[in-house]
Amino acid sequence: MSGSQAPRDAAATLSLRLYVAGNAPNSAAALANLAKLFPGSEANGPAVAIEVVDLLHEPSRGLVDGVVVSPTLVRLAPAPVRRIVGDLSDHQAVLLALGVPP
Amino acid sequence: MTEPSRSRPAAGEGDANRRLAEAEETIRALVSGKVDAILDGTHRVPLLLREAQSALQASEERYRTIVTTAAEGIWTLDTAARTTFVNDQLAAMLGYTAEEMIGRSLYDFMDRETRAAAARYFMRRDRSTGEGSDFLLRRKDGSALWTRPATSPLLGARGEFLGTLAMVSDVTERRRAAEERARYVAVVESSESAICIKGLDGTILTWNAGAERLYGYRSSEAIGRPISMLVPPARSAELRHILGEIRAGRPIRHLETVRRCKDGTEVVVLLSISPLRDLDGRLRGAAVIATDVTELRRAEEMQRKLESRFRLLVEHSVDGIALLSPEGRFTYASPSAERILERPAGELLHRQVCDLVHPDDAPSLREAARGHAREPGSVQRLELRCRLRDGSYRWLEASSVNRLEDPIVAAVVATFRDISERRRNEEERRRDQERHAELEDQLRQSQKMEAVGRLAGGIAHDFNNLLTAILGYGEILLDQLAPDDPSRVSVQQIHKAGERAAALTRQLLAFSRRQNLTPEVLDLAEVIRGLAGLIERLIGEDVTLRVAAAPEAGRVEADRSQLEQVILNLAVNARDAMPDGGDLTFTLGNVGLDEAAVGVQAGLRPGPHVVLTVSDTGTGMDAATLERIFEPFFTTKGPGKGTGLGLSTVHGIVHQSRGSISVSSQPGRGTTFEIHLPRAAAAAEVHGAAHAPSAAGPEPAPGTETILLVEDERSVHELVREFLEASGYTVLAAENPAAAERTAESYGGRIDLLLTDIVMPGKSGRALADQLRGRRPGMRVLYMSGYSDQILAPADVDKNRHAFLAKPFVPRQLAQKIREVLAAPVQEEQ
Repeated sequence: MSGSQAPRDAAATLSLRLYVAGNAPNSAAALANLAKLFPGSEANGPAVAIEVVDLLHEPSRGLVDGVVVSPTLVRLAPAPVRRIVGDLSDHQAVLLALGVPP
Repeated sequence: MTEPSRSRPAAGEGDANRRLAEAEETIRALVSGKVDAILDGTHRVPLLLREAQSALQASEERYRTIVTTAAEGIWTLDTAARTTFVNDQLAAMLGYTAEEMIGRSLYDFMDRETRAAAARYFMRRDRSTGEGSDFLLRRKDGSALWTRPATSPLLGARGEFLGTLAMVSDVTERRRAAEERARYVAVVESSESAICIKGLDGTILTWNAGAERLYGYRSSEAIGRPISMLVPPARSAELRHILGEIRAGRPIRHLETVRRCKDGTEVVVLLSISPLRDLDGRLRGAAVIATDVTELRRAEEMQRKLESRFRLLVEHSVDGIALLSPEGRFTYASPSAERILERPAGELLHRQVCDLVHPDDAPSLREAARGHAREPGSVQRLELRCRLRDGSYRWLEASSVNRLEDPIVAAVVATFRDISERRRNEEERRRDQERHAELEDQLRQSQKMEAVGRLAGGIAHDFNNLLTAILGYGEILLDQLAPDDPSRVSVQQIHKAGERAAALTRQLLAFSRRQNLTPEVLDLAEVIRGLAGLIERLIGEDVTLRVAAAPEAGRVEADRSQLEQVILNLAVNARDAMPDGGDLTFTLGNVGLDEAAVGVQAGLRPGPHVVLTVSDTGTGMDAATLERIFEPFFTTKGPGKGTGLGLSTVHGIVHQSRGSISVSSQPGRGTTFEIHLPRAAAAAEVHGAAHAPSAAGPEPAPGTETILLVEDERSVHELVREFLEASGYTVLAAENPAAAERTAESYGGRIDLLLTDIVMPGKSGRALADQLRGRRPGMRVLYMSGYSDQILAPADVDKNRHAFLAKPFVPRQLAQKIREVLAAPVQEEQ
C-alpha cells in the first residue's frame, strides 16, 4: 500500500474513487448509479468516502491508480484495491465487487 | 514499468487473478460500449473512445501509445492475423522486442496444434467477448507461455472488420499453481487412505474419496460435521488428546485406534495427523490421514492364531518334539519332550543327542544321521534308549526328518514317544511264550517218561515174578545141595545172575515210580554228611567234594535209601564227567516256590521247598544230550560202563517223592542238577543217621499157622507154596481171587494169614483182602507185588495189618516177613 494516494480512513471505511471522462454518457451514468448505490453518502459521514476524478482535468491521477479506461470505480479501502469498469448499472455486481453486503 | 503495478499489494496469486479479472472486465466494458475513454499515459490526455477509433484509423502510431502503459499485454492484429501492434509488456512476456514482433503472424508464436483454435478465437468478427480459454504461446527461447487472452474485434466506422485487439495475461504461474494443486487434489482424491482436514474445533473441512470409502459418509454428509462422529464414545478421551496436540501444533504419527463408520461398524485405523497453518503461520486445523488396517490386523490376528495353534499343537503333543542342529544338538524341546526325557529344556538345549543315547544305540543313531545326509527328504525311524537323569534308560520310538534346507525350520525335526511299556509288554509276551514252550517241553518230556515208565514197570512186574521163581528155586536148590556138590558153583552163578537181574528190575521200578517207598522225615544235610565218606571213595582223589548246607536247611519226607541212591548216582555221574578232576559241590538251601515258579518245574506244588544243588566242573553236555538225559537206557558212557538207568532212577525217585529235578549244562562249563523237594512240616521224629540195613536176620522159626496163598503167576505160586509147606505152614492155595473166595468159604478152620498178589485177573488183592477179612477179622494180610501201585495206598501198608513184600524176594525174606506179620498184635478193624 506504500505509495498509494488513497485516503487512509478507518479500516471499516469504504473509500471509493470514481474516474470519469467529463460528462460522457457512461461516466454520467456511472456517477448516477454510484449516487443510487450510496444515497446520502456524504451525510453518512466517514462510512463511505467517494471522490470523483475527471480524467479530462486530471489525467495523471488515473495513471497513478492504474486506470486504463473511464468510467472506472476504484475501491481504495479496504485493501486490496479493486477496479470496476463501466457505467455501474449492474448494482448487485458492483456491490459484490466492492465487498459491500447488499 | 507502471506505477500502479508497484503500488499494489505484494504480488501473489490472488493479485494476479484480480488483475486478470479486471482486465477481462475492462475488455467486456470496452466491447459493450460502456467505456467513454481510454487513458494514455504517454499523452497524458484521456482518449475519448470515439476519437480513439477514428484515431486508430488515422494514426496507428497514436493508437499504439494508448495501450503501451497497460498492465496487461496488448496485441493488435490485422485481418490476416499479422501483428500490427504489441505493447512492451506483451513483447516482454514472449521474450521479444516489440519491433521484432510487428508484422509477424499470430501463429508464429504458437504450436501448430493450437493454431486452429487461435484462429477461431482471435479472428472472431462478432462483438462478443472471447474469454475463458488458456492459450499456449511459445516464447522466443521456445519455452511455454500460458496466456489467457481477452479478444475483441476492432471495427471500422461502418462496422467493417479491421482486426483484433487482444489483452493478454500471463497465466503460466497460475496454471502451474493450479496444476500443482490439481496434482495434490488428485493425489488426495486417488489415495486409498482417508484424508480429511479438520478445523481446530474438530469440524470436518475436507473429505476425500478414500474417506468416503472408509467411513461410508459422503463428503456432503461429512463436511461441516464434527470429527467426533467417527470416534467411538469409549475413545472420546483420545479425541480430546488429539485435538489438544493439534492445538499445540504437534503432529501425531502412526496412532493406531478404532473409528466408527456410518453403518456402525468399527474399523482399525492408523492415523497420521499434521497440524495445518495458514500463510501467516497461524494454526488453522489439521490434516488427518487414516489408513484402514482392519484387514491387516485381522490377517495378523489370524496369523497369530494360526501360529498359536501350531505352537499349541507342538506344545500339547503327546509325542516329544525337538529340533536339532546339523551337529545333532537340541535347539528346541517341546514340553512333552521335556517330560519324556525327564529333563528341562534348559538342560537339553545345545546338548548333543548322542550324549543321552545308550551306547549300544549310538550306531543306529549315526545310521539315521547318514540317512538324512544321503536322502534329505527321508524319514528316519528308530528305536533307542535314552538315558534319564537317574542313569536309567527309557525306550523311545523316534522318527526324524531333515528340514535343514527349509529356511523356516532350518533344523532336523525329531519326534519321539515313550515305548517302555510296549517294550515291557513285548518282553513279557516273549517270556510267556518261552515259558509256554518250556512247559510244553516239560509236558512232553513227562509224558514220554510216563510212557517209558509204564512200559518199564510192566516189564519189571513180569520179570519179578520170573526172578522170584529163579531166585527162590535157586535158593531151595542150594539148600538141598551138599556143600561139596560140584553143581553148587553153577547154581550159585544162576542165583547171582538172578540177583543182578533183580537189582536191575528194581531200578526200572524206581524209574517208573512204582517202587514201594518208605518215606520218613529226613535231614538232608545229615544224609549227605553220612554219605560223604562213601562219596569221596567213589569220586577219587582228583575230585574235591564240597558240601555247603544252609544251617537251617529244611527237612524232607522221603525214603532214605532211595535218597541215598539219588545222591550216589549224581556223584558217580559227576565223577565220570570229570576224568581229569575238579570240584563236586553239594549245596543245600531253602526256597519258597510260588505258582509262577512251580509252573516251570513239573510236578511241584507251591510252598516251601528244600533245594539240593549238585554241580560239577566237568565236561558238561550239549542241548541234545540234556534233552534225553533222564531217559532210561540213554547213556553217554562207553559199553559196560553204565546201564543208562542211573539218572532215570534219580528222576523217578525224585518225582515219586513229589519233587522235581532239573539240569543245566553247557559243554565245557560243567553240569548242575537242581532238586526241589517239598519241605516237611515239623516232624516229631527226625531220622538222620542211617539205620541198620535190613541184613539177613536170624533163621525164622518154623510156622504152624494156616496161610491162604493167592497168586496167579504159576511159578511164583508153586515156589511160595512149596517153600511155605516146607516151612511147616498149612497152605491153602488159590490161583485167582475167585478160587480164593471159594477156598475161604469152604475151609472150616482158622486162616491166620492171607498172602496175596495185588494185581490179578478179576479182582485186586486188596479187594479180596477186604472181602475175606469181613468174615475172618483175625486174619492178617501180606501183599506181594512186582510193583507197589496206586492200588495200594501207603497208609494201608502199615501197622502190619496190610504188610507188603516186594517181588522179587527170596524165601528167607518171605519167611521173615510172614513171621513179622504174624507176630504183630492183631488190630481189630472198625
